[in-house]
Amino acid sequence: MKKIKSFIMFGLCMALLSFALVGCSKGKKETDSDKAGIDAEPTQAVKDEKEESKEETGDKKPVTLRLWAHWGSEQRRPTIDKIIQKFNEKYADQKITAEYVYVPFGDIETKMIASVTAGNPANVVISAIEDTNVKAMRNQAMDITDYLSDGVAEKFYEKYWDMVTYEDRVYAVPFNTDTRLVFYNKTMFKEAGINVEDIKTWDDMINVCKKLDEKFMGKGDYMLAFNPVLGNFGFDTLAINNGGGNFDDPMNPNLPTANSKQNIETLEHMKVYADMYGQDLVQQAMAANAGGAQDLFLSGKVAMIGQVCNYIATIEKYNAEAKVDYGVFAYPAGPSNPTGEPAAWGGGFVCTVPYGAENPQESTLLAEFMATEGAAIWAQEQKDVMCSTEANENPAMASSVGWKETIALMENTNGTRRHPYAPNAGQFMAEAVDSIVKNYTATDVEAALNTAQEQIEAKIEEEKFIFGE
Amino acid sequence: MMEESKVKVENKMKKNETKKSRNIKLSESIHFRQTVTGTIGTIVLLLGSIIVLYPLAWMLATALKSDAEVMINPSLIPWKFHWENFAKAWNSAPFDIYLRNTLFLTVCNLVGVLLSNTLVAYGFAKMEFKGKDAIFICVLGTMMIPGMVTMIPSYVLFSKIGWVGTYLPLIVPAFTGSAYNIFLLRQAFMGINQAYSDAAKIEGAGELKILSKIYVPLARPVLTTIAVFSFNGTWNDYFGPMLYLNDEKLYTLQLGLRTFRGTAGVEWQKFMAASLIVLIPTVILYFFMQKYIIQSVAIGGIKG
Amino acid sequence: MKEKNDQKSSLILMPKIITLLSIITFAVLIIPYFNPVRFLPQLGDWSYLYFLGNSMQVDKQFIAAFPGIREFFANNAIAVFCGYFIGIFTVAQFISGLFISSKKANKSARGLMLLMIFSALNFAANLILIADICSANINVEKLGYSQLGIRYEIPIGTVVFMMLALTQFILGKIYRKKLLIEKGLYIKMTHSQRVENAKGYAFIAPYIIGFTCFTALPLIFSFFSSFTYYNITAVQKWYGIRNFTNLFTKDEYFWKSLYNTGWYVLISVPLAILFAMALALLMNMKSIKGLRYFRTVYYLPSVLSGVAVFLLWQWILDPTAGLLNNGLSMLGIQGPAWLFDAKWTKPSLVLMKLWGVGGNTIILLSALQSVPQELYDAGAVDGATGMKKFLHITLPMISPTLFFVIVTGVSGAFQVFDSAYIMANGTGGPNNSMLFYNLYLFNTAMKDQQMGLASAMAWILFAIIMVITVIQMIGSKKWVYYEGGKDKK
Repeated sequence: MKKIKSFIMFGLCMALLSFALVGCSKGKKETDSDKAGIDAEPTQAVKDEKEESKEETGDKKPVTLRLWAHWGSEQRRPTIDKIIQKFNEKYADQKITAEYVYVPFGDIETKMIASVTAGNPANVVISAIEDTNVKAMRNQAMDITDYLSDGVAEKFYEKYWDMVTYEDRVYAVPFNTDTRLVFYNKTMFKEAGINVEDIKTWDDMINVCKKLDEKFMGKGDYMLAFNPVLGNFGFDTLAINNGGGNFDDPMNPNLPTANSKQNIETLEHMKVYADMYGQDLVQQAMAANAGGAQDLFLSGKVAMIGQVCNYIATIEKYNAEAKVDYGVFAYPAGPSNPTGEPAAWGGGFVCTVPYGAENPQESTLLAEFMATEGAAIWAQEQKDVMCSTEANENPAMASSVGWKETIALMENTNGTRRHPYAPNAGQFMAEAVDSIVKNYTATDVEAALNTAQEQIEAKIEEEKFIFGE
Repeated sequence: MMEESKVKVENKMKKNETKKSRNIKLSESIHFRQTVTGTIGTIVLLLGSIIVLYPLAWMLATALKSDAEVMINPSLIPWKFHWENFAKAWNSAPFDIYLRNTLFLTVCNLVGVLLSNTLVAYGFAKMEFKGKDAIFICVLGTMMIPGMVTMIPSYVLFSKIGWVGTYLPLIVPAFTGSAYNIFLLRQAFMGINQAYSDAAKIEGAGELKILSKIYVPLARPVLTTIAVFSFNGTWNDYFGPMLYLNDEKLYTLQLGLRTFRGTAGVEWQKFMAASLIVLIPTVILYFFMQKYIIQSVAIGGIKG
Repeated sequence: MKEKNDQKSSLILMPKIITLLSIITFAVLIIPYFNPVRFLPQLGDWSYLYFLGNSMQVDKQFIAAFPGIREFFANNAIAVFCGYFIGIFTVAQFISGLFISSKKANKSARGLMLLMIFSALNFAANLILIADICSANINVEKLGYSQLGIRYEIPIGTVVFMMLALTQFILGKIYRKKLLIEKGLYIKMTHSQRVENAKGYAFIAPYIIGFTCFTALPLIFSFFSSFTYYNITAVQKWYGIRNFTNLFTKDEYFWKSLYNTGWYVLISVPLAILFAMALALLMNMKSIKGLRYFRTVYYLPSVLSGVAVFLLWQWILDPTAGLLNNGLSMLGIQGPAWLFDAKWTKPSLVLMKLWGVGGNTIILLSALQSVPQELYDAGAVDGATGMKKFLHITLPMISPTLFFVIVTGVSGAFQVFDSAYIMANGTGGPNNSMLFYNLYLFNTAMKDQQMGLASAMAWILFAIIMVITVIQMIGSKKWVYYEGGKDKK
């Protein structure tokens, strides 16, 4: 009696387990088989759908679209609400409504991956521009090439449209972007007798810093003149400025170039700053920078700081008391820069339609709207740099100090894409760089970059082994 | 160190005693001893509480600073007290809705936690059944797996049964018991003398009655502790609501707090102000529940 | 008399039957090796085939005849997983089946136990494999099966295996019972014991239900994932134990993160418990004024939600303007660059943890409060002074709770994540000094999206913590005193 009971219980448990596992695996296998099928027949399915929807214009079911983004603060919220409202007005007769859901920054990627795996993602998600290709490769972004309206590509700067294209298919619509400049304290420059226009080379920068230090070091709150590890600057911008970078081709990364001559030069240059100020001072400045309790630039602790162009808005907001008279300029081109024009690294955000989202046609509609008409509203109210050409004609910003230089630098601002087999190569680079200029645990620039190169190469090998199998 | 001073004082007193007045002196010395230790203890605790409270004072100071000040004034006293920052913070997102939602979730969780963990812990502590030890090791084991790797399969599981986007994934697990609470309660139950339940059994009480009439009152401090922890846990839970809720009308306070952190930086004053506001109910609750945590039920005493 | 003979004969017969069955099962596993094309379609067991075909490099002609199978396995990690385990279990079954028939009673008993375990596992693995194949929507034509006139998808061999395993399990149970009866060791549960048993299960039912519904599947899936290369949204390929070997040999951060975590556990847990204990003792003294105020104050920090606290501490630990260094400079000490100096990052985290020690303090306090006053009075009569009272009355009475604090403290410290993540902004901190194991796991899972590797790491951590906990539990028998106890664990 007992053994039969225990046997039945045991069998039931196992059966339950297996059936549930079936359920789980089914979901997963759909993704697998979908991936297998995606190359074969996207166009056909899409064409069918388009035809269907054309037939049904008379009797359309109301469609609700969900947009996920990390804009929840009081500064951003009203603008996105306005954009959504405009969208709803425009498409009310087609019974399409959009809904905005705030998802905290940093976790939006996690949520997107989880929902894509489960098969019920949102319709449009705002995500970072540089891993669009990785998302495409990993079945996280949907191929929306066939859903886009005609001529939409022309509305954007070509280089951003390239960033959202992978193997000739489009996976997102570019939204906004940024660039990096040096903000300087005009008062300090005047007192030290420095003319901004004279800064043309990297050596000029160092000399300017030395002059400023001579004048101000030890007085008041002054800490140092400039250091690329502070603010929002860093190795990437300087490397692009010098014709270097992590990979051979920023748009189609293939071979790592961590220890290229240009990169070594860039890191040596950063090391000059690190040596000039020493570990204690730099780490103190970094700490003050990180806490956010005080702004280094606004409190006069540094004479110059490298920041994103959005910093203009921050200054305008918080400058009432400090009243810093500021200006901007682009960091001068490095010795190995091919064109001699200053360049910078640019990130940004795009409107992605997650893989497996419902109503792909309408979702794409929303994405396009966001990036074109929405972008114009956004630029006006948020004073941001957009990827759409019309949106950048922005009278509201024209009066802000630094806007002109920002637009001028946009020409030479480029993003980089992640290597599909080593999406985290940036981390290895960051470690090599940090060991020299932040942690002071190494002094041999070439050795550090060689290590990074080896690590990235090993990672690519490992991944190739898996996929090549 | 305290014991030493106690003993020193005691010795000193003893030296000056005469045999006749010994008894009187004895009580005096106890009283003196207690006062000395009490004072030393109070001073120590006071110093400690300054250290503990300083960060909170800092939070308050930041909340009261103006936009211009917050970036450049590092001191504890703001130039001007901007009390309106609190109102501004509260109004910058629908915190009243978030508050209501969070209260709902917290109460549901509280009920579930108290009910289920008491039952399960009692089972592990006092009942005998086959495989008890093995199952208990399993329970402990679940405490040791980092939640990260089960997050996605859990999400998929909940999604398949259609619970994503609702409160269910955040409430139902509370009714099934958690390893931490079960462990804590089990230890507490096992520390209660068996004699009580034996006596009750003789009088014909069933297990549930024994549990509710004897063990629960005796373990009240621990149960209150669990209740407070559960309240705090749900009140401060960020990850669960972030992952499973898709509708802003269902969002909780913690999600609301995140709105102050954007890519353009953190709005420090409002963030600190809102954090302080969110902090208050937990403190109030604790302040009132304290007496249940420390009040031990007077035991009639069963000898032998 | 006749009954006894019957019993005796069945006792001799049964082990022989069981052994025979296990030999048959093993044969079913091996036969395809010798003559696949003819026998296998009927038995149809692809998993063993793959297991054999891959490892023994045989059957190329079979694989050539059924190309679809190879493709199926290339993409189906679950089937491979099951296949390997089925192979292992069958061999184990076979060996233990042989043991059963040996003359030595000891060997026989051990063999019986092993047989039952492995046949149960074998049954389960087969069941999973069947479920997997059924749900995979295999195209029979694609596999070339139709050449042989076979229409069904369910591989008969798997079903046969399953039944064989089941039969062995049942027979094993019957045999065991008979053995125990014969030896007079079979204790049938009395009715009241059964009732008690059922009641026990009823009480823990909420947990069991919750576990099977919500926890078990994700756990099993993650265990399975650790043997795969799993990229969450795109690919799940069988990877064998490569994840584990990669971690132990090729991964430089693995050992560093283990070191960091170990350091943190060794230093922070004893300190935190000592602090909590001291505070609880202080707050237990009735001679201190304003106890209510103090209890609230010390508990406050642990109530503050994560992000605000960490940001707060980033300010406090600021080398120039932060409270800590300012305070130290008042005492004439030059404070270090806390979060930016690789040597001081972990101590900063320990400091922060000590600040939030209020939670454990409350637990210990409530335990202290439930120590009956009479015990102290009785002790005083016997002449016990402060330290003696503490060691011989207080400590034993609160030892169950103290044990809890230690176990959860260690387990929690091993899984430290939040503080490091926010304080280090998601990186590992200067020189990876804040790269704790759980943080490394998170980065592997979410940033690299290598769920397979992350799962492997999670199970390694689980093993470590489990071992340590078991050691603690064994040790607890020596010093933990349960008042209500019949010497339980």
